[in-house]
Amino acid sequence: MDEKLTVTIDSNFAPTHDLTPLAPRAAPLDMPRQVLEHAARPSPFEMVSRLFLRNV
Amino acid sequence: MRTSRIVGISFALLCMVAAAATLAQAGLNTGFDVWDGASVLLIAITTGWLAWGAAQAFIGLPALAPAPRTTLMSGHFPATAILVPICNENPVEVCARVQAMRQSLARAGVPADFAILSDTSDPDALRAERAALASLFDPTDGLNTVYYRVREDRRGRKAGNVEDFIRRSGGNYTYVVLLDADSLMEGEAIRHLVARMEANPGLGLLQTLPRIVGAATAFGRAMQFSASFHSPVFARGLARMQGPAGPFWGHNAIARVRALAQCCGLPELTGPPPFGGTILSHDYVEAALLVRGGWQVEMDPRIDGSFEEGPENLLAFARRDRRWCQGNLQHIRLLNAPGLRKWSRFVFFQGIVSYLVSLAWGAFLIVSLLAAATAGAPNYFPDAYQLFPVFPDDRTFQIVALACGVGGLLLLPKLAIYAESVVTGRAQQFGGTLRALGSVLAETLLTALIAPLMLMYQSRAAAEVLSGRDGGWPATARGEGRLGWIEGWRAGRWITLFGVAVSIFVLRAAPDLVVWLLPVTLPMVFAPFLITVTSWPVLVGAFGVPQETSLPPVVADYRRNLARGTDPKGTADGAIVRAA
Repeated sequence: MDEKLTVTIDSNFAPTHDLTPLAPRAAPLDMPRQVLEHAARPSPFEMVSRLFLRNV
Repeated sequence: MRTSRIVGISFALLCMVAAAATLAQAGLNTGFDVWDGASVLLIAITTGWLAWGAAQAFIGLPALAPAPRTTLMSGHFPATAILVPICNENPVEVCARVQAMRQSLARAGVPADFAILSDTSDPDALRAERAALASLFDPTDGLNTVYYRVREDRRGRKAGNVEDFIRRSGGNYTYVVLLDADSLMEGEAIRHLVARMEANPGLGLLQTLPRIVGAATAFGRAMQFSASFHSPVFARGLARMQGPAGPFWGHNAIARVRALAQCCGLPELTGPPPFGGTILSHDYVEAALLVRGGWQVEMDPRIDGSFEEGPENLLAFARRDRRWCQGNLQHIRLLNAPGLRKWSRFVFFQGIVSYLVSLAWGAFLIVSLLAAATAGAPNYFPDAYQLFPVFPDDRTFQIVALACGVGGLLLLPKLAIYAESVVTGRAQQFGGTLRALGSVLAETLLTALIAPLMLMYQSRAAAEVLSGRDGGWPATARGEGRLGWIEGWRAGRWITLFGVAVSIFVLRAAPDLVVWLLPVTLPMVFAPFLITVTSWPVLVGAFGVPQETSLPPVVADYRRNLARGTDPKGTADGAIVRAA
């Protein structure tokens, strides 16, 4: 850890300073959302609607 | 692997058909009616499930080849983080565990970091957590840095917690060891896991079989014994059948960060809970997604030095089971997920059936009772002009054969595992041949006594989920080993009521069945008593396991650290609770 802190605790167990520097160092990774559901099939009514109302 | 799958499925189908045919024959003897049809269907489902479990044990009887001896290049240890997700946990215990694992890692010379990933929400619990963990952030610590972060947006529960780490900091590491808040792993075990991952670049995740430690009550110790004595054999069977499309149980496993990032960004399912929303049993889904992405997922029961704690009483077990029930039944939505391997779909199917089968047993019981109650008096003279009476055919033979078959499927795997332990000398680790036999028999008796209670809890859970009731994912209260009489009564009174109602119904409608049903109705009637008494501590000699006779160093260190720790204060509602 780059930034070590000595944490002091008050009588209410409350840390007297921010603990954010204790967080793991940032090194972002992309994590794409997986597809687990098939795209919902349009109902016959929706298909007819699309056919006739596509330019509306 | 393929042969094991074919053998296991064929055995289950064979037993299923045999049970259905036996009951159908009994029905045909007396005129096949709608009740007989329902009984045949239900016995086929329930027996098939029992046989599938038995097949796993039989396939797991032969020992696996020794684990591969893999070593890491000297001076090179890939960047590894040990993730400890916590949520309103007992912080003193968390601190003691991390400290114990750090000691073990130091002995093994393993330079892995820890990341304590907190989803704790209660401000008091958070203050106590920060205070208790402060000692871990000692600037003089050597190889193993401890990081700590608190997540404010707690989306996705535990899977979301880990995902957040991968997204923000995953680029720092090659591997992550995934733990639960109550997990313990030896440094040498972690070194072995890393070496196995290094030796096989296609391996995405390697799951260990954690041994249960620290059980004190009759229920907890019976489970601990079963997990140590029976589970390795079942796990070997599972490993043989699953091959590189193995399971992930959510903790005590190592994963390749690149594989997790590539495949395990879980979506929210459309629609409301219990079937939509956050994926609850995320581990099965992550394993299936890794396999879909071309990664191998393996489970190896030979890896030593992996431990966890288990529920200490039936109530805690049932509470955990309610969550798992909802999580597994949610997988109904994923059976048709695009691109999954057939085996991954089958694993989902197994998980779903494991909860629906309780409903099937309950329905079988009810159908059998209704069939007996609605059966008319035998007609000895069906024809108008008949000299001699016609006696109805006796169904006793078929019913006894069926009972023996079902009993055999329940008992034979345990007896076979006991025989295996005697032949291989494994029984010596459990106190010798006689003591191991005593433990097996006591565990079987206890399991038989609480089986009707588990049936009731599981049936209720499955019925609740199927009716659309969301149980959420509440944390399990810990430190609640021994239950009082009032708690036991509250937890079991509805089962007592049901047991009494069934007994009265049977006495009036089908008195011949009273004796046959006693193994089910008696435990139900005495449910509060059983729930309470099995939560009492028992002598350490009962249900002895190897990890007690020779305490693993990491467990010994944990207990020492805990004894030096202070009482947790300021935890939410005064309860000590753990993350799922």
